[in-house]
Amino acid sequence: MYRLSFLCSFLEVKGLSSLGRFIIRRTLSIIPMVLLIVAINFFIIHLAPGNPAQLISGLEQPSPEVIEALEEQYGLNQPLIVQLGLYYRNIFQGNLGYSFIYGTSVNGLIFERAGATILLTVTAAIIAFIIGTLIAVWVGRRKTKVLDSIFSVLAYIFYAMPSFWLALVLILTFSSTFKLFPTSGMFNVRESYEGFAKIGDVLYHLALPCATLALIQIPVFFRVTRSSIDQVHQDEYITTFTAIGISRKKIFKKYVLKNAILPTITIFGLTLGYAISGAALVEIVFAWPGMGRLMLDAVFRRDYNLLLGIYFVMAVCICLAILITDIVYALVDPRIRY
Amino acid sequence: MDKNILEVKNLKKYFPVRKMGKKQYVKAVDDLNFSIREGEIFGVLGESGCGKSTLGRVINRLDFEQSGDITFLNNVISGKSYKSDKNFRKKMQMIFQNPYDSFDPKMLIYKSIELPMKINDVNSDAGSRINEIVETMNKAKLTPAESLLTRYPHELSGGQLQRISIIRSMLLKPKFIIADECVSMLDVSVRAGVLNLLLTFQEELNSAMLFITHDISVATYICNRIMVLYAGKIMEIAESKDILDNPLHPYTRALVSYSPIISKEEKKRFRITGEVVTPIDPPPGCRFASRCPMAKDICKKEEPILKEIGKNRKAACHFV
Amino acid sequence: MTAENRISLSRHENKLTKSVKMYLRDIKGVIGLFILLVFIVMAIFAPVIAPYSPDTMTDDVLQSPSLNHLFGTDHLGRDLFSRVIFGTRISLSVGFVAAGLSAIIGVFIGSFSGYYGGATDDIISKVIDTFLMIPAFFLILIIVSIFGSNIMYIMLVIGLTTWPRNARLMRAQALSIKEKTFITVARSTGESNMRILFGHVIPNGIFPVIANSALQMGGAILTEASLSFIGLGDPNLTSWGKLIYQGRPYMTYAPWTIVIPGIFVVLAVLAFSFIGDGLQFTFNPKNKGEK
Ligand SMILES: Nc1ncnc2c1ncn2[C@@H]1O[C@H](COP(=O)(O)OP(=O)(O)OP(=O)(O)O)[C@@H](O)[C@H]1O
Ligand SMILES: [Mg+2]
Repeated sequence: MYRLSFLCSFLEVKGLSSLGRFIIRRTLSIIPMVLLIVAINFFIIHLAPGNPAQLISGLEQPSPEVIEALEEQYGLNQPLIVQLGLYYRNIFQGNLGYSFIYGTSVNGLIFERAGATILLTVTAAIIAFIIGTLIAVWVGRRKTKVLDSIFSVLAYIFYAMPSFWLALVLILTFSSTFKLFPTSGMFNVRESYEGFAKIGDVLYHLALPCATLALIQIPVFFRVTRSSIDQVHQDEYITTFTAIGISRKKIFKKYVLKNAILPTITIFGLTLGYAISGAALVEIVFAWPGMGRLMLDAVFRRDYNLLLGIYFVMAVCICLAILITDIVYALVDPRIRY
Repeated sequence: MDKNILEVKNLKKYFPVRKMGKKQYVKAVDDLNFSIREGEIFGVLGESGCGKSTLGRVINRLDFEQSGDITFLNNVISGKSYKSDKNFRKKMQMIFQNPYDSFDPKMLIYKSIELPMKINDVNSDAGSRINEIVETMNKAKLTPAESLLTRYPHELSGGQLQRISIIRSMLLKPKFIIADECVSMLDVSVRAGVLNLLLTFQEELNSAMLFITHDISVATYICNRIMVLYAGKIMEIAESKDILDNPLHPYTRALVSYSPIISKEEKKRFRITGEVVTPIDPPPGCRFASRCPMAKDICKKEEPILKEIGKNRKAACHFV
Repeated sequence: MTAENRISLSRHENKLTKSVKMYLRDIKGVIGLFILLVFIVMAIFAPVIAPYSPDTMTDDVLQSPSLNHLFGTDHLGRDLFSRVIFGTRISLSVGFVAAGLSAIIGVFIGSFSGYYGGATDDIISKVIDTFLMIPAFFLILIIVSIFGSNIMYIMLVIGLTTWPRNARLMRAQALSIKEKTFITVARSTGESNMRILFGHVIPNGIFPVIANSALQMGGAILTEASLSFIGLGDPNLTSWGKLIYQGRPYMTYAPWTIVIPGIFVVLAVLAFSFIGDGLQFTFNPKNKGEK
């Protein structure tokens, strides 16, 4: 921390704005975290029973060539610290390794699947954001306790639900019973739609997994918005406004809402960051061809290189999401001290 | 009466502070020299922030000095490497300013009192420990002792708590007591009682006491000698009655003239202005120069040394 | 001495009663506690409550719920009610052991870090922040898939990956408690640092960790259920999550095989989050005396 603050005072001399300094400081503070995550990955492999080369390859009996290639890439015959260095080098060259099971690079595999995960999670997060916030605002405007209690309890219940179970229940209800939506996949494999028909088909398949994720995330948005509305309501200046006779409706629209929505932005950012991990089980249930599904395959085929690659990408996404959220928040909220 | 129990030589305590990235030091205690005799009550007088508590904490080994020597009962207790012998804590006890905060809120009062005795092997038998505690409580007119002892700190008043914290320390039978503004947070109505309790114990144990206060009337009433501190430096050391009747240092004179119950003619003569300064990298010269009505050029350039003036009396001013 | 002990005991009770009364004001907390108690009874007296042995296979395959089989039967004709009852044992133990371990580790690391401060504290806080950021579930998944899915491993790994939140709570507490005068008094009366840590800092700062532990028990149950659902549960034990996993292939004909165990998971997690929030309510100094 000291070194960072030293750096900041250096930047100050260079005449950067305080916001610029804030952004740089936050960005720099991510670095040790990423380093630590990579180190955790590294030590998991080396603490595991068995031969690391075999473990990384994921093969029962890797051929001597494979072992040799791995030993060279990861320096497996060298001291542990050198190995860690090599591991870092590989990762920061953007090389997450080779999946011997799929026979392609891990980067490629992840890249291929990222689209489906992003589509699913971003859609779900936006829906959850809109619905959760709207309900909270709607309930927050009313002074009736009953509605508030009902939605609070609902929030608790949905929050307590395992995502995979909710997914199964939705399948039971909407696919098995009412035959409204498909149970799995992203496309109808029997037809090959083009253009708008294709988009429609994807959306049709998206409905249930997206609903599952949204239902689980709505309580989070609801609670955060709800409690920040309460908080702002208690703020002194709101009381003052009431006292000088500005109408309640106007106060709510102009001041309460504006300030209460800020923490919700943070949650939205974080939800996106945690998307890969949050969606994994849902993807598995719906056989959605995203990274979660890939990860499960990796687990069962013991493809550790792929598994660790996904873990790394997920961690970096979270770091970035937190970083971006912090910066957006700083831009939006003038009260924040850099 | 003439043997020294505590000797302090060139004691310095600086706190590093960061200001705009630059490292600076608060010279909370700066080059103090004094000694305290056995059985004596030695007052430390000064405004808020002048380093009184810091001095007490360093002597009590709760903080460590930058440099300097502290000799206590002929043992050097200063220096980071010094490991106090097991009995050190028993011999030197400190009473703190805030009685409400001096007790573990999750512990019954008697546990809080008993624990120090247990740790310092004061009374090895649990039963007689309790008896001694109850007896002492009764002596301090904290009755009914059993009921008070089985309460939690938040169920007692500040005055009661401060008496009990005095008892807690005195049960260790210390040879040296540090009392850091031990009544300043209490209601005026209970102050005298608490002070009297402290003095009773001090007399009974015949221990010496470092009495820290910002109240000159209390200091002159209780102490044998008084050391006046300003921004971490000694301004004057003298017998209490000399401080009161014939203060030499301009700062002491100002303190005396501000006191409501002391001296009337001094009052008009000595007024000082401004706030007490925080000794962050102080400029050369006398620390008090910026507020001193008698200040001349020399005061801003040259730091006055603490000179011997008459018997038992020292002051640091170019004009005395 | 005995008289004295008695007095002190009654005082303790008084304080406890106060907290209990405070807790009981929160209706959610009461409901949560009630559900938990029912589950604990179910777990302890499972052999008495369960009408059938949970592992006896019969020819009554995939029977829907009836008076004979309250929750129906599974694909091997085993009584689902009995299986759920016995599953309570596994799921609850995972919750208690994993969260307990997490609390112990968190309290130790957090209080050391906060109390001693310095460079160690800087490093530990960074580690805590990092761990907190990354969802533990993935780490657990990777470790379990490498090391094996014995229930002991699962509990251990959940504990070892979820302690940072407790450590953060405890560290914050230690940071504020160590500035209190009674800590200085303890030092000045010769108490050792260890004694101060265990005698004053931890007892005074542990409540947020306790409240959080209740939430983490629910979290551990969810994690175990998820692992079991993926097929990484202990192969020899039947938790609620395992029941869902086993029922999944038959869910279209026998929805009860997945719906009912799931409801139990939801109830358990719900109970723990009610209890956790209730505890937070109880120990929130703002709520003292009002309401
Ligand atoms: N831990 C610390 N870190 C930095 N500065 C400190 C620290 N402790 C004390 N100081 C500074 O040292 C100076 C002396 O503080 P000290 O507490 O000794 O004053 P005091 O004379 O006891 O005042 P008061 O009458 O208010 O108790 C003050 O300027 C204070 O800000
Ligand atoms: Mg002080």
